[in-house]
Amino acid sequence: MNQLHNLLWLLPALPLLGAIVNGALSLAGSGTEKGPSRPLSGFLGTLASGSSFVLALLLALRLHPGEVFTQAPWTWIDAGSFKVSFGFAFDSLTAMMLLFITGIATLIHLYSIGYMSEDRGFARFFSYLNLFLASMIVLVLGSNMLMTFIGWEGVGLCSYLLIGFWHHDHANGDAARKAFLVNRAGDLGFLLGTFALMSLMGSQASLEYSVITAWFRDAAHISLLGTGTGAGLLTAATLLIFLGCTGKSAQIPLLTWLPDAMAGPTPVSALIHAATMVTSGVYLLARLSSVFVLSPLTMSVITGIGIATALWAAIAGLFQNDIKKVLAYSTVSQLGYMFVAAGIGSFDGALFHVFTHAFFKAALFLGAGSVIHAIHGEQDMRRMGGLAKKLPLTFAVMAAGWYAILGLPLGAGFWSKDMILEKAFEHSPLLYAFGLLGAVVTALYMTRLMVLTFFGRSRDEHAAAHAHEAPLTMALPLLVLGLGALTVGFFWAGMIPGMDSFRQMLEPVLGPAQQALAHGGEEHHGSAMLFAAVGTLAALVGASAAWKIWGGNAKVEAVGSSAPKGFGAHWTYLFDYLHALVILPTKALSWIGDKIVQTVVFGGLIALLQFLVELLGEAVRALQRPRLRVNLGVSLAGLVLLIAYFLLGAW
Amino acid sequence: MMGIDALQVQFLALALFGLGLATALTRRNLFFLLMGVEIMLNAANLSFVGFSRTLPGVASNDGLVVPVFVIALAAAEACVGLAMLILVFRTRESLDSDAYSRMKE
Repeated sequence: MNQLHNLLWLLPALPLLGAIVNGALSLAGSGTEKGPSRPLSGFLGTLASGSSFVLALLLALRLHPGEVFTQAPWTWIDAGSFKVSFGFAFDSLTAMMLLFITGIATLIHLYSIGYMSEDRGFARFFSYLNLFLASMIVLVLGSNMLMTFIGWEGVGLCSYLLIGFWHHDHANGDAARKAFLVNRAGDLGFLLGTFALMSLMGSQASLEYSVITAWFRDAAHISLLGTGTGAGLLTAATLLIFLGCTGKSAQIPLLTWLPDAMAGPTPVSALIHAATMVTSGVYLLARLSSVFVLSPLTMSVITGIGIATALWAAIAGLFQNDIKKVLAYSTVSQLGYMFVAAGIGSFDGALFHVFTHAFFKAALFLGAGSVIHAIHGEQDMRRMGGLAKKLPLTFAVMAAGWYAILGLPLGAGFWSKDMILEKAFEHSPLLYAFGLLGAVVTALYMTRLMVLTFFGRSRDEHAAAHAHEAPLTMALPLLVLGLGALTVGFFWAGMIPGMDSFRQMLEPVLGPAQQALAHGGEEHHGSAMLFAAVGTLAALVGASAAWKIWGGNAKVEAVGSSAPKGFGAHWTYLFDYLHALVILPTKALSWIGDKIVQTVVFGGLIALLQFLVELLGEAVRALQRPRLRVNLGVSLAGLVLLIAYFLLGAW
Repeated sequence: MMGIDALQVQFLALALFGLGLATALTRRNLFFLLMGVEIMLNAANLSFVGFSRTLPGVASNDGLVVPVFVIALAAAEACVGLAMLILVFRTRESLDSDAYSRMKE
């Protein structure tokens, strides 16, 4: 039994193997007329993911509170006192992340078998999905920041590959590149932050989370960090790492890539851009919580960015007509709530919202995918309507997701989002007010989505007439996730005593940091019910307003593309405009590089070099001419030189 | 012996050798090339003979023997050389050394 934790390496290795095998299948089958065998690669991909889940489950069940399974197959960097191991660490935080990552990934693999069934790149798709899963597992399982960085880059790469999966369309390639480049900007922050952290620790520098955590919990070190350069460096380090988190988790200012990432297949949007990858920023904050709590400024910045993103994205979600874009902005907005929770020191609350959000957002995305699949690729909600009767299962699952994200009683969001709002009120009533406003807007755009898609009359008779319910492989994950959206909240039902297994599980990892920040035990027991009531009321206000505006048979004309127009477009693309400003100097530099450096400097150098070589060639050519006398003369001259050299010794 | 200066003889040999070399290198006609070679050989002979006469303290005729061999060798060389020259002239219709290449300029 104890040998089990020696199998940590298998967790990422299994999906990696799946990726390799599927990649080989894809290559081998690409020349044939039918393409690679779809059942085989679908089965292998799902099996790889599923076995990782089972292994993670077995490990999690054997993990005692406060215990950490570690395994370091080899040392990676060994430079004097500075060592980095290629190591894995499995504590309760990792266990929690791994369980929902591998669990939801398995469901989405299963779903993809149905969703991608008519796609020629089937094996390639599963190869990428498995590779993504392997990277994600490395990200949360790595025992040091470098390992996390491998996963961090790996998921970025897979995100790029999967967004641009249908690369025959140029726009998809653009979206993929945008996602990759914006993420690179964040990655730079991650790296610089890591270096800053190392220089803070001086001679004891280490990248191992255990060492970092212990160092920053040491009272002697904390007092050093209170003032002067130490404090400045700490703020810089945490802000830079947070910049990395904003890149991965699509927060202001690096959020523009996520809505564009919807160009990828819908299972990808559900897995990567809603449930798992985008939450890695929150994971990193929680993992380094002991460092972050020492910098009040950074914590305030995180809170501010979080609430601003939550509100901005929620409003942007209102302007979208593309069903997946609505969900994308919704994801950005919900991630904002998670950062609010982390910023006010409730890392477990943030992770709990990560956990519940993974379920209900995956359910919503897969439901949206089922709708898109049913009406043959149409994503514009203005061309949907009245689909509830045609797609009862999809409707039920999306309704469950809708119920959960609104935070209506006993749904998943009811427990996680209301808890964040409650914590926000303890922090500052203003923050709470903004959060509540965000909740109202959330209810508005989600209800709008449901109404436009499922109710009213059908606005595109042709598409609706052929609508068909999802096949079994798609229906099963939908059902599981729909159920999850309604029930996973009970892992931490704040109002019910004893129902906080989620908090207890994370306590050993996050407890010390959160206690360090807690301001003197002023707990608001008993008022939880009030907060829940207010939260529910806010959701109902939003939902009924949306029903008033878009319900019934409201006129919704589909004109042109699904992109928002007018003010909605300006609001939606606000940060794209800002990015364009930032990119401008780079563009100027590249213009200078192209026109001046390239043509004048390098062009001149190359011409000069060419001229010299030609000159030399002409000279040598004269010697090669078949002139007996010249040849003879030159060889004699050489002989004379040689003799002179040996007679006179060195010159 | 009779007041022969060693250096004078050697300078004469050197001049002769230079003339031979200049002939061999500058003339395009193969006849002159062969002639140049002969002159150079004779310059070497002169050098040998001169040294055998003027080297002090060594009463030797060794330096006189080598030129005999060289003359025999030169006769053989001229024989073979002229024979080859005739053959080359038959195929090429020319005695110009620069005309023997097939390489493109």
